[in-house]
Amino acid sequence: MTLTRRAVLLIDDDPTIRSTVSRVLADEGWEVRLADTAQEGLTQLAGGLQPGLILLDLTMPGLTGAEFMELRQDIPGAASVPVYLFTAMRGAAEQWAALGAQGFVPKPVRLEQFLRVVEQHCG
Amino acid sequence: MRSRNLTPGQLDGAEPPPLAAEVLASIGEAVVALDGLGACRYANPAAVRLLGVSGVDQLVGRDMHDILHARPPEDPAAHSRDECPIARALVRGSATHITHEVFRRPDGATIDVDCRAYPLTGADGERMPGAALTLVDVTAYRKVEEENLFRKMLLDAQSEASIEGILVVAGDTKMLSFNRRAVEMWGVPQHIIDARSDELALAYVLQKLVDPQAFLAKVEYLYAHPDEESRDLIQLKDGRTFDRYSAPLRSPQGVDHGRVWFFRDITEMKQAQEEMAHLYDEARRAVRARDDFLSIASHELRTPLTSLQLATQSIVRQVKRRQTEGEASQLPIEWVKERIDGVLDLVSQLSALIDNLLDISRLSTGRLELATEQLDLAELVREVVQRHAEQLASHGCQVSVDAPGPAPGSWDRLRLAQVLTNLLSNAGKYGRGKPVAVTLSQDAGAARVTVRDNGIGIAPADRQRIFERFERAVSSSQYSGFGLGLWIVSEIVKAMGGSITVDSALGAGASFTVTLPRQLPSPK
Repeated sequence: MTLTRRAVLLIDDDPTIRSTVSRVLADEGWEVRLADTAQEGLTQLAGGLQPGLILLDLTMPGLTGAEFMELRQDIPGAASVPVYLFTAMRGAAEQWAALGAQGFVPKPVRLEQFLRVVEQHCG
Repeated sequence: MRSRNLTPGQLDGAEPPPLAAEVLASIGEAVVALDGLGACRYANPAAVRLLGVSGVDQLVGRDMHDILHARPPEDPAAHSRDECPIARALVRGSATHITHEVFRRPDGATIDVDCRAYPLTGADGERMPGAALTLVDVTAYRKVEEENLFRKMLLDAQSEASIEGILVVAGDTKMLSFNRRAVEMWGVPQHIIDARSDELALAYVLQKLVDPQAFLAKVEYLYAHPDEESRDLIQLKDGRTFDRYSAPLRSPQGVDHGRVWFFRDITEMKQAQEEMAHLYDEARRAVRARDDFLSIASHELRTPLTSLQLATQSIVRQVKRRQTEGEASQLPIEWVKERIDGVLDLVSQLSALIDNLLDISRLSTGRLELATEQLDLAELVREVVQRHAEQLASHGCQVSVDAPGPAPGSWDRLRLAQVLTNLLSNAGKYGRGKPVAVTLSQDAGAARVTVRDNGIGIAPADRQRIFERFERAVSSSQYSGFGLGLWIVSEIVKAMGGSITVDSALGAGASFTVTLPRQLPSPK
């Protein structure tokens, strides 16, 4: 089962979110790939990364989360990867479907809920 | 001229000839005939009534001057016998007309009398001794006349007291009248007032207007349409604004008498309105900025809270897991230390955010208190940069320091550290992946710290705005933060008697320079 586990791609400009999430998921045995900009996330996907789940922040310098959703359509294989918005923005609950995401994880989030989403898509 | 007394058959015995007697008895005008000495020889019935006596016998033989002009000597209207119109007719032989004679009747009532005195002439046209008087009671006319005068006086006073400039142009004659306010408002020169020419006045007014053509067109239109009223605002070259109203001047019978123009100076009112609109805009902007701040603040607080929650729940989860697995799988002490350190870092980040929020409240209410001490700014700069080197490195920023010391001065250590922290944090945020340089220079009176990044830069239009509360030059959808960092910096620097300037261009990085006098300015 461990062999079939797929990585989580976290796209977030906040360094403490990146380091915390990567530590927490590593402790649970998940592979985490990090991108500090949406552009970097696209680059990794274009480079052939096939994560089980993309966690996407919305407010970032450079490309925003919404622009990322558009641009990933052009990368073969990337469009089918489930994306969850990972954001502190209040409107995310109404926004995620319109942006083409599969769901959203609020900031802050309980660890169990967070791990359930990861388990569901990467397990 | 015959010098004889009245002949019988004329006025002798106060009896005129039959037809003349009937005429004299019938008319309403009082007629009195006098002999050459001014004594009454005849009075018709109207004269008896007017003079308030019971019969003609009370008049005949009496001196007419005494009857008509008997007044107390202190009465200013009293005539002396020499000035009496009757005497003039008698002595000089000239007809006189007194339009307003006050006559006191024997019963004490006074009436206004129109009095004419004619020297007597015979049927042959020759002068005869004596005079004829006609007297008409004009008391009622006088009253109306007085009322009219009073009304006019009221109207004039009202017009003069008006805060509106009033200008009347009487129809055909183009006769002008201004009230004093109109003269003041327009500064009408005396020669135009004297000339009363509407042409001169119009030409004079036109050269004072911002848009004379529009005004002239309006005037021409109104003179072509005498029935129309009109109102608009006119702008003067000197910056004043007049509210202008014009209406036809008509009698109650509808006769056109021209046009009246009212001008009211509303410059101050307009300025007050503009000021109010400006304040309203500012207040709305402040409310919007505060709302933005609240939404950004809650967003910003949630981000470190997310890390804090995930990190602590993860520790708890790992501990619980080891508990169920037993002693054999104790958590390595390094792991525990690392995780706890991580949590403490997050706690400091959160508390720094909260401190920032509290600063806003302190700075907004002017409650910022400085705790000054003698310190070396060069040392402080190196310390703060070192403290943030790791964070800057996480943004891909290499930081260099050029701070030759010592740079002694009397400053608040914590507040200065906060200033430098905010500037460094901005340099990392907006200058990702590019080097950051911190330099210190000084002269006798002040020290200067410059933090230069090589990031996105600031457009000229935004360079002042970024120091305002809740303002930022870029969208909050791309850069997180309260939009308060530079405002806090600038407020602290101001409190220390210093200043902050920015040198930047879009895409070419930004260079913030804080100048700090070595001593706090003494409080006023």
